[in-house]
Amino acid sequence: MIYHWDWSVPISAPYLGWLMSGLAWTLLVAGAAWVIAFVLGAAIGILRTLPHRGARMIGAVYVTVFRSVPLLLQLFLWYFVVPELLPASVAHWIKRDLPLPEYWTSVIGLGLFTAARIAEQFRAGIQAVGRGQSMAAAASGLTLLQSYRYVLLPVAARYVLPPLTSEFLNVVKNSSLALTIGLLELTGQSRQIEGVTFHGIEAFTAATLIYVALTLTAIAAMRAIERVVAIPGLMARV
Amino acid sequence: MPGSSFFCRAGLGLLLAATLAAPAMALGAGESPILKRIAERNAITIGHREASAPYSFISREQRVEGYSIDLCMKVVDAVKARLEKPDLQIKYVPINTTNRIALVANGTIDIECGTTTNTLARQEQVEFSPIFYITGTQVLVSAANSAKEVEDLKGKRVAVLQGSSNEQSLRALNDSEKLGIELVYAKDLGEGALLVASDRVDGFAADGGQIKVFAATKAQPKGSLKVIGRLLTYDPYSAMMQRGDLDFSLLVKRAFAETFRSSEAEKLYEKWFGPLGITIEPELKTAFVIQAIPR
Repeated sequence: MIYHWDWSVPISAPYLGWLMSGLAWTLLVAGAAWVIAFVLGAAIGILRTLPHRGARMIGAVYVTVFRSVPLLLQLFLWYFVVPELLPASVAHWIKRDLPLPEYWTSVIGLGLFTAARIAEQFRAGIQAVGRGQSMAAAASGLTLLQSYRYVLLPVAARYVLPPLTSEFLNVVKNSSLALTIGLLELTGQSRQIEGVTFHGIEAFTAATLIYVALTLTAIAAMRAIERVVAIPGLMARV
Repeated sequence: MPGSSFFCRAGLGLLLAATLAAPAMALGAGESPILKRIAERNAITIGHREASAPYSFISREQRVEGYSIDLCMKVVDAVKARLEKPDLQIKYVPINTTNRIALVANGTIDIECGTTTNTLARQEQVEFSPIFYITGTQVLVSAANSAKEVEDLKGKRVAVLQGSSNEQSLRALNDSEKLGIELVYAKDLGEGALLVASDRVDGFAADGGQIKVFAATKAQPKGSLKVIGRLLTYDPYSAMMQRGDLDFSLLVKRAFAETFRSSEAEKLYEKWFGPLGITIEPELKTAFVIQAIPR
């Protein structure tokens, strides 16, 4: 390998600033997409367990559609294709007047995609609580809403915390696909640095370390949450 | 030991010239690491772009073709003569702007034949061939747009390629002249053009040669896109190779100089750009003449 190494590139001006700006966008995309994914994912997951055929169908269709299409393609469809299918005035607003169109498209695309995955985890979590619990809830006179609120969801939410950690890490890492529709998040900024300096290996290494630091922080935070909300005797000891 | 290798080669050259009257080119790999590994593998590896027509691309018949590729074939011919391996194989490795430098630096690719701009900062990292194409940043707009120069797009949205030299120049111009242009970062040429065609942006600043070719060949419907403006930058294209191999670099320089001298280069330009209605620019013609260094 004949390569002129210069590890000062990713930590010198202006490139450090570029990486930091990329990190900020990564956090902004991942954070907002996570809010959408969590709220919508939980709702769809609950829909899939309700004793109503129609509700379960809606949930199943959503999960199937969003889980079956590659995320890269979904972002491309949201950005380039969907506006063309809308009425001209709405399309023009999305394309020209909406502030930060790349950002919002990434957030919505990533959020809706991840929601399908979180929905499945919630469904699994609720079903893992067991038929006995929901029958006992009904037998003790709780309404459906109450049985979810007081029996099923408090336990299911704790069951799904470990897979939700993985999903949160996925959102952080998948946010790098936002560069394909022009958002200069962490990976995009590393590419910028490589284009200007030709020191791509250093720039991508720096980005890798930042991603690792982010995910390790997220893992530690989720572990802490698991410990705080743990109900003694509910989960098997590890 | 550069000294001893010089004498070795000089001695061998004299021997060949005096006793065998063999062509001076057929020296074998000598001390050149790149030529040595080419001889070892019995194959030369060319890095190419997948969709940069007509410079370097994969054709409908799944062949790697283009203006840059044809010029690199002159280098391949020179390597064949030098190593006396007429049946030397050619291997193709597709590259993109993210992996090209790493693949050249670690020796996966012997020569990169694409659309890479030769800059001094990049020369710290790789060796460049003589310049075989000259372009500069221009702007692709829809045919209905009345703008004549990039300044006419003041306050508008303009797309640029991520990590490109065009992006740097437009950002500098934007700052110095306070144009208030909002930059949008496209991933590749096709996407930048799609941003213009779908009216997401008002213009797309990229290498003039490439967007002219795009407007001439890929605009849907035909004639819906055009290229405007003076050349905002000077972007000379060169082939990339591993740094620090003077022997191989000289072989490449020699192959290019011969091609420029024999007007073969102009014919290749005509072959690839003629059908698109693009004629050779006087600057490039002059560059060919200047770089046809005497034997």
